[in-house]
Amino acid sequence: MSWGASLGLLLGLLALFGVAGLPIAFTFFAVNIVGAAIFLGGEAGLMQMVRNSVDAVANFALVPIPLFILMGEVLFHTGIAFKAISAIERLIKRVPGRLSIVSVVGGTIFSALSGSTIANTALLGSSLLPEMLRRGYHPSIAIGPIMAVGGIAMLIPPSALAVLLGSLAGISISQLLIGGIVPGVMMATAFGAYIIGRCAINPTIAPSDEDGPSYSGWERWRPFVTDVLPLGGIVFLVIGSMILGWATPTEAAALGSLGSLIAAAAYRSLDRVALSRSLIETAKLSVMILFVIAASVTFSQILAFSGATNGLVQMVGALGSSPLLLAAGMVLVLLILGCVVDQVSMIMLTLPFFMPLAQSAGIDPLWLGVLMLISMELGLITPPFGLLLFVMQGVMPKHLNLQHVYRAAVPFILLELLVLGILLLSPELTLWLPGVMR
Amino acid sequence: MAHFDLWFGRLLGLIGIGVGVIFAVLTLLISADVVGRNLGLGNLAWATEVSEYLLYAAAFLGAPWLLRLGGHIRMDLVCTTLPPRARTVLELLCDLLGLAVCGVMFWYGLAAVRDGIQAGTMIIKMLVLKEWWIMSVVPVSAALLIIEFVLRLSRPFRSGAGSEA
Repeated sequence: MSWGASLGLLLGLLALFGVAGLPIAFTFFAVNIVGAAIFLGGEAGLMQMVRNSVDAVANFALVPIPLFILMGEVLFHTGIAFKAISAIERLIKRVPGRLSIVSVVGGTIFSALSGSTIANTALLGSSLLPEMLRRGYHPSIAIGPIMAVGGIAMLIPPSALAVLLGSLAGISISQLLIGGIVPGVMMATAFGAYIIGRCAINPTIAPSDEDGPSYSGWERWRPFVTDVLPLGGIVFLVIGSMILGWATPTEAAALGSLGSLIAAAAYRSLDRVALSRSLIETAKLSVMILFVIAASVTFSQILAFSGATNGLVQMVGALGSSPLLLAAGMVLVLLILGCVVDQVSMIMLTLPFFMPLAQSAGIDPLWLGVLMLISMELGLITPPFGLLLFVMQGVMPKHLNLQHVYRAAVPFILLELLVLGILLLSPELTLWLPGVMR
Repeated sequence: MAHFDLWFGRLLGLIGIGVGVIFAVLTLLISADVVGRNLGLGNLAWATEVSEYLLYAAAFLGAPWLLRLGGHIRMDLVCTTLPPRARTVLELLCDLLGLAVCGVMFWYGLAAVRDGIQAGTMIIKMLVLKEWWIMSVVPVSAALLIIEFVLRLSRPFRSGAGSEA
């Protein structure tokens, strides 16, 4: 079979089963079974597939995935995150679109405490959104920032997806995690500037809300000192211990989730209900991701074995495009995929091609990894199937519909594309911070 | 059948709790290892290996539980736009395909276990384990998945009790 036919067969089956609605993990397994029978020598190949799927998940480097998710879930279900958000709200005064700014600042801080974009969006959506709508905020300036900043949790460590990407792509996980910080902060800044600008020009979309009790001095700062500053300890456990080289990403993740459990106990919020809900939600998300990993590792092997990977890489190589153009092309593929496919599948589908291509074109894998993370983050909020659009729909009041959500996402999609463009053109912005720890 | 469905759902629910507990154990185990090492109290040399096996067990044993909850990620863009009848048919076809996949996993998982027993293969790292102990999680997981897929297939033909998905 020519490489083109193999590629067409494997991707065609994948698309067929996937679009029919078979869960992604079983779709990969189904295609693997066909692929193993044809390309890996039948019975022996099928046996190999089973062993591969075991080796794929029995991997210490993947342990941070559940642990980073657990951190966010614990802080969310114990109510600690809500207290932190209201403490931040008390500090931010006299800015146009105040509550939208609170959601960007609060969401960015929570991003440094949680590896789950879903927890981040659900937190802000259930804490700040009702208040904004009650005060007459326009849905676009209320919903948009929450979804956009929800996605930042994927960039700023702890990030479960960065761990997944790093471990499968063979990029240093700690460097990839640290490499997400600068782009994450750039995005939060862009979101904040946009909100202030838009609300200053048109104050009616975010009515002033400073009619409530006004706090000053210690009363204003006390909640921040008691409810937010101590959480800095958890951030240090995760990010600090990695930058200082004290702990591997897996160890940092364990310390971080232990830290969040200790914090919850210290605030006397760790009851049995909160703990079991955190663990169950963590289990759902983690098993979903891990089982897709178990299924898809063999897929990339079959792609390689059938000659499809090599054929495609050589064909693209023959086009003789520059590394920049090639990276831009990969980003474009991810952006298109992101409109319809989830983040884990995006990684699994593209990595088998992207990493060999990057290697042959001399593209820095760390830079490419961060660009991939941002492209996938965009996929979280691009209509029609961005995951966070639906998380938002799930937590928002019923009088708003999916059209409101789509419209609210558009300005923030453009801002993220802008940041992505800047990082594409100046790799040093991404690479300097990880460079510090080299 | 409905009675069995209910009972099986409870079993899967227990497994879900077990998976949550595994993640709590991973947190404590790895933290103890790091803290112990940095305080010079010695380290748990087996912690890494045990963590890997626990992660693998969580992924495979948790999969049937997640299937029951409808939590495996899927693209439902076509399904949701179809009329109800066509949708039911497509769901049935997907469940049949899922069942076939798990059947293959079960068969070859079992073959790997049998090979391991016959050849007496050992995994020698920090811990010395028989390979088939580790491999046997796969057929167990596949068997639970098969049962859940069969229950899913049978639900449209039964009325009422036991259906959660």
